[in-house]
Amino acid sequence: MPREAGILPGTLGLLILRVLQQGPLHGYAIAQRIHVLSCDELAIEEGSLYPALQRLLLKGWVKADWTISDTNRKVREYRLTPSGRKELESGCAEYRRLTRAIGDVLEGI
Amino acid sequence: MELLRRLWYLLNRRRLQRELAGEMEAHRAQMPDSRSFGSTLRLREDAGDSYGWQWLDVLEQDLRYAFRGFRRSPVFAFTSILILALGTGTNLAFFQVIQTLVWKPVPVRDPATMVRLERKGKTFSSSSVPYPMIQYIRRHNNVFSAVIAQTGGNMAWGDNAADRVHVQFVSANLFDEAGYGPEDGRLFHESLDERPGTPPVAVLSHGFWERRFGGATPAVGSTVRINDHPVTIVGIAQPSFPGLRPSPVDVYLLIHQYDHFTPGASFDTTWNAANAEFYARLKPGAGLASIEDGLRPLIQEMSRIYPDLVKPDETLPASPGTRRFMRDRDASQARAISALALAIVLAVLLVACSNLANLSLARANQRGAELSLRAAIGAGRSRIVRQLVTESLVLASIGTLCGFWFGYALLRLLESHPEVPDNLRFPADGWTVAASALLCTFATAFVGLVPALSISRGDILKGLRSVANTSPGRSVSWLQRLLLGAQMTGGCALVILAGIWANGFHRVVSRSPGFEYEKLAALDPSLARYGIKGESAREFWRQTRAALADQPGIESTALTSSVPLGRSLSEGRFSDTPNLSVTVFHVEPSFFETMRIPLLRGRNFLPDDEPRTNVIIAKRLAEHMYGTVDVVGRGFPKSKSSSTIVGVVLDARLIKITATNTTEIYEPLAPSAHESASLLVRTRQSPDRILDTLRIAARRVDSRILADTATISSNLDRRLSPSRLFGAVVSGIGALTLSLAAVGIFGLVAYCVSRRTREIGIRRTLGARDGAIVSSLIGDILIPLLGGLLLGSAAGLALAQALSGNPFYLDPRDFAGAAASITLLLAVVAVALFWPVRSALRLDPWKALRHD
Repeated sequence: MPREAGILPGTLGLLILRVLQQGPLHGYAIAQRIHVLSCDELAIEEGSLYPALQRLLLKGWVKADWTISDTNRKVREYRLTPSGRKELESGCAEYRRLTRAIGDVLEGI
Repeated sequence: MELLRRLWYLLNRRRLQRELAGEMEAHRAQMPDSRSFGSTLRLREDAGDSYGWQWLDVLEQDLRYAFRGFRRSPVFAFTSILILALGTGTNLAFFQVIQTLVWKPVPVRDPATMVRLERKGKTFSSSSVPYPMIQYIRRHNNVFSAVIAQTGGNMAWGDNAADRVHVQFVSANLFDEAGYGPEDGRLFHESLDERPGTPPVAVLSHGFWERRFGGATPAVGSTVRINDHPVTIVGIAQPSFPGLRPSPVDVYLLIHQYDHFTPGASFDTTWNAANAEFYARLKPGAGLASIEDGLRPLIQEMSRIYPDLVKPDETLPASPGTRRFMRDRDASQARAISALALAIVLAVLLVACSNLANLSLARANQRGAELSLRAAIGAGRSRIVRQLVTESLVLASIGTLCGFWFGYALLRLLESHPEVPDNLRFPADGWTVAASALLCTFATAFVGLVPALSISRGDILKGLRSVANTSPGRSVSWLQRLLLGAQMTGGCALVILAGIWANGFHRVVSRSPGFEYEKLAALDPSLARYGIKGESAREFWRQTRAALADQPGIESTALTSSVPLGRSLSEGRFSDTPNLSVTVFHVEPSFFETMRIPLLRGRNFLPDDEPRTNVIIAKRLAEHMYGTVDVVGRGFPKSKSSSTIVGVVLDARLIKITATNTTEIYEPLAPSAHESASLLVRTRQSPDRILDTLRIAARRVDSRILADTATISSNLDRRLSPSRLFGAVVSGIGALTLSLAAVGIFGLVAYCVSRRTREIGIRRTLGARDGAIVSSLIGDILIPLLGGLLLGSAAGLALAQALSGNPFYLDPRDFAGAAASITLLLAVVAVALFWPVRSALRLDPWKALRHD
């Protein structure tokens, strides 16, 4: 498994916020969802996932609650807060602007 | 918001960490390959780090580790804390005392514009000024917005002449100008109390109110008798009221009502007595320099009115409250003394710190193996230094806290000393706290950083090897020896200095005053205060002495102008002997017999000797002025003789018991001087018993008189009290230094022994003799010990030489004192060496070999 393969620095938080947009998820599911959504291209290590989640909690962009999962397991689910939603929007816009700019440079030659 | 969340995290850290752990467990369980999940602990720490409280955990770890370490070596921890507490405590106490006495301004409102004025002429200078002169200046000057006069004394409380209280006569504006309010009732106010015909009023000092009235409010409004004259108590001063000058005060009275208490004194018209302290408040905008110009015309005017009493070239030099009302020279002298005292106690702290550094260096060396282990499993150098610094920070903080307490206790002890008046307090303030924080930092840096750096520089592998094996060779590093040498040098110099100084005080205290004081008492009725003058004064004394004549306890009596070792007298100087200050005593012929002052040459006074024509002088004055004691019949003083010397007596210290540059002149007591004379009484038994007899005899002759009585030995005690106090302080510093030296050397050698137990065991088994073991143990530290001793002795003697002059008067040739100090130090060193060495010699080789 490629380590943290392909994740641009600073985008992990954005990815997490994005997968939480569909609804609350627990830690393992977040990692899985990113993995799947990226067509197995991106693998999130626990060592990055949990510090990133803590940072999001600290910023107040997500909230965490204990629930029982589908597999009848006690898990902690993270859900997006309104400010998290706002952050996601601005983060996505920022990301798009940035990639377009990089793309312009890379493909313009 | 984010900050709040951080704090919330801090408060719920334990629970949140637990939840995170549960969450990670769940995560791991869901993974197909659960082994790929890393260490949950490590992950948890990394995750928790996002909140920025990681350092707190590290600190907590370090602290817990430090305390565990102290529990494991309690002797080390206790010794370190003790050393630090003594060192910092002494420093803080000294710092506070010096601040209060020298550096800080007088604690009154706007001290920069408050001045004290003294009187200075061509041939005299006096710290006090005649009260009428102060009043004159008060009425006519244009530089002061307020003028304050005060004068102290002691008077009888109630109608019991034996019960004396300290009274302070003050101007009505004193309290307002000083900026203090009442604790109860009211204080004096110019508008209320200066109106003509106001009844006599008194304000009690807070301490006196508590002592006499138990702090009960009814004191205010009640009438008491002072010197047998009624006075109404109108208020109680605040406990913090410092007065303008530290002096014992029980009762404040109004200075313009002075004559109410002493009807015959004519206090406010007596121009020829320097009887009051003169303070003033500068007008806004007026500078110190304007005072001299402003007062010059007034002085000239006064000298025109009283040509005999005031000279036109006199000045009234002023010193501001910011300089504690000290004249330039006195202020710089006080600064010199305080700087030296502070340097000495700082040196004590330095010795203590090098001592501590040595101890913790020894301990850190002992822990070399442990630290190397930590380094080997991944602790970075900064982490190890941080750990060691945390440990010493803990020690230093506890030590400083204890030191703060110790310093506080020292100050309270000092405040309770009889020599320290009630209104002199040494409150700890922000500066003291700042100074103690500084000392704490300093101690941490000194005690922690040196060993930390020296250890963490060490080679990990070498350290690890020593886990299994005590390394042979030098047991004491060069750094330790250097510290030991420095400590010895400083300690030795300090001990020598303290020894010489304390010895000097001891000599002063134990020196004979030149007369037999044990069985002497004095009766001081202050007849002039009651208006008893001239012939009636002489009649008073005739009757009193007749009443005392049949007392079997009295051996002889003599009238004298001043009570020996009593109130200070003004001193004069002759141009022939500019280095001697001279006090004049007017005495009856029986004085020398009563005092037991032996006559050296010539004769005693005769009853018909003229006061101004015949003098008896002391031996020292004869030698200084004429170079010989055979001066009977010569004119006196030498260059401008106005009288004839009829006798020479041995030196006697009649007033200033500790001074070395004073001498005495005796003149016959003039009949007109009986009104201000005191009666000196030599008793057969203890003089304490005669005091009541003397007072009663005086009261029988004149029922108004509440006479002051004292034994001369109590006067002597009072005069020696400051020297005793200083002697005790200096000896205390010496003892502190000695015990620090002892602890330091003991700690170091004991550590060497414990560290080399195995080696000593091997040597023993191989047949080493006692001598070889002892020399291997102390051989390393002998050079720094002896070197420090030599250097320190030289430094101590050089310092004593430097301080031999004004104002310390140390005797650099006091080799007895120095030798005693060095002997004491050597004895202490020997004892400190003895115990650990003995335990080394007593080691059982087999046990020692098994020792790890």
